[in-house]
Amino acid sequence: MRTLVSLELYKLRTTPAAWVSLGITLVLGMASVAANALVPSPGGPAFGSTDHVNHTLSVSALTSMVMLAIGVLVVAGEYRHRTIMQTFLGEPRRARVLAAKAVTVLGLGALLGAGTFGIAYAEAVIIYGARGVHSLPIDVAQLWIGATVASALYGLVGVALGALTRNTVAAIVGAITWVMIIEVGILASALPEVAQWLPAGAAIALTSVGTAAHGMLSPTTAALVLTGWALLISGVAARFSLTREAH
Amino acid sequence: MPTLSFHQLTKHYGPVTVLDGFTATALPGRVTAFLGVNGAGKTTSMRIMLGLADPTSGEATIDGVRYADLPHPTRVVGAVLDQGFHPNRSARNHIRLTARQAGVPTDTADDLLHRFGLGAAAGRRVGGFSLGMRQRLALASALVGDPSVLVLDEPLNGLDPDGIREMRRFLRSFADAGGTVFLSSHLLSEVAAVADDLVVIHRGTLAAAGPVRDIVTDDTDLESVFHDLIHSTDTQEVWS
Repeated sequence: MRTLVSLELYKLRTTPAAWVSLGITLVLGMASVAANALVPSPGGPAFGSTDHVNHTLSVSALTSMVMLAIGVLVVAGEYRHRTIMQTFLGEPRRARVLAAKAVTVLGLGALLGAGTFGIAYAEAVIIYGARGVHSLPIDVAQLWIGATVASALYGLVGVALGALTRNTVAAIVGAITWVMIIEVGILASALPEVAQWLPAGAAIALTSVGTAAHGMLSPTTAALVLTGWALLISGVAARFSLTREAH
Repeated sequence: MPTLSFHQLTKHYGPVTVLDGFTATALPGRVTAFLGVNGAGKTTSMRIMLGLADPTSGEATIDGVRYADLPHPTRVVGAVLDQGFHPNRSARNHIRLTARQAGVPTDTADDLLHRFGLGAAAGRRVGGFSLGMRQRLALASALVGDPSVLVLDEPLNGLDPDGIREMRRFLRSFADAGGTVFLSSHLLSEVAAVADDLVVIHRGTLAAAGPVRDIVTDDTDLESVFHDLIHSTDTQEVWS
């Protein structure tokens, strides 16, 4: 398994997609922290309040969606470029290949989520400190762990969707449509009691404090729910993708 | 040196029967050409041999062992199918990836790039390669694990006359060193020039098999023999 994981990392290292994703995440993450902290929003929370800092540090939505896309690319990208055959020639036991991809993306997601949140937090400390707020009124550990777990699990969901669809565009567009339009855009306001149990609802609960977290699941429950969704989708992907032929 | 065996291989895709009890062998030290019209079942047979597809019944083995059960498959079998390349990965990184898969030193991979005339292009993205360069890279990658068997699907496609001559020379030397070569091709005259044995498949069933010299006699050529075979309903077995 270690060899297979190192092969997956080598594949990512030797193509631009992962580096571009990393660069975009860091640039957008840092820009969003600065913008959210410094650009006043009329009627918004007071500068330095829990809700304001929570808004400033909301980079996990970005890292989660980036990891979802990377997870899709790690599997569906191989079908798109037909490199999957070389992968299966090297390791004919497909379950091991899929497991290695899942482990790789889980690890990368955790690193990206934790790293990006760490940078965002450091940036926020500097920005708020410069304006006289020297202690941020949030549970940093909870948000940091939440960003780490959410990014890792969204990556796993991406791997599963990539394995199910074998189509990068369909998987990414489908996932974004589900998360941004169906869950966040429609269900969160129309059926909030249902939405909180869905993947995006659980991720928001896991990565939010203050008013944004009111009425949501507790962080522990949210982590369990999100893990459950990721494992369920992965199980379905394994069930239906491993026996299909590779072309 | 390993023998490739297809034994009573049958493959259905829904109502369509692609292979129907196909049985054939490729021997070590020989270049075996695998011939058939489009849709005859050549690629499906090769994919089953390489563990990329499962047969409905029957089996394909390398010295009695299924590809998927080989401990280090790419060290036993080198394959060139229509597997792709990541267009943004360099040739060097592609072949080093293959070397890592096989668990062999990456120096071997770099040497193979030079051997196949791709040394100067090693750092270039494969997306900018010609078809011939891709074929050479595919063959170089297939050899990374120093296999004793080569399974090649249309390896002459895209090669210029020099490339075809080099490929023929290479396949001859590989077989002369005891290796097993099993290749499909539509270029019958080129096949006739390099193959020791023929396996002809038609409608998923063995149509003919045996040494080239027994099938193609002095007063015939491979093209006319092939044409007659696939238009005949009789199946002939000449391989002892």
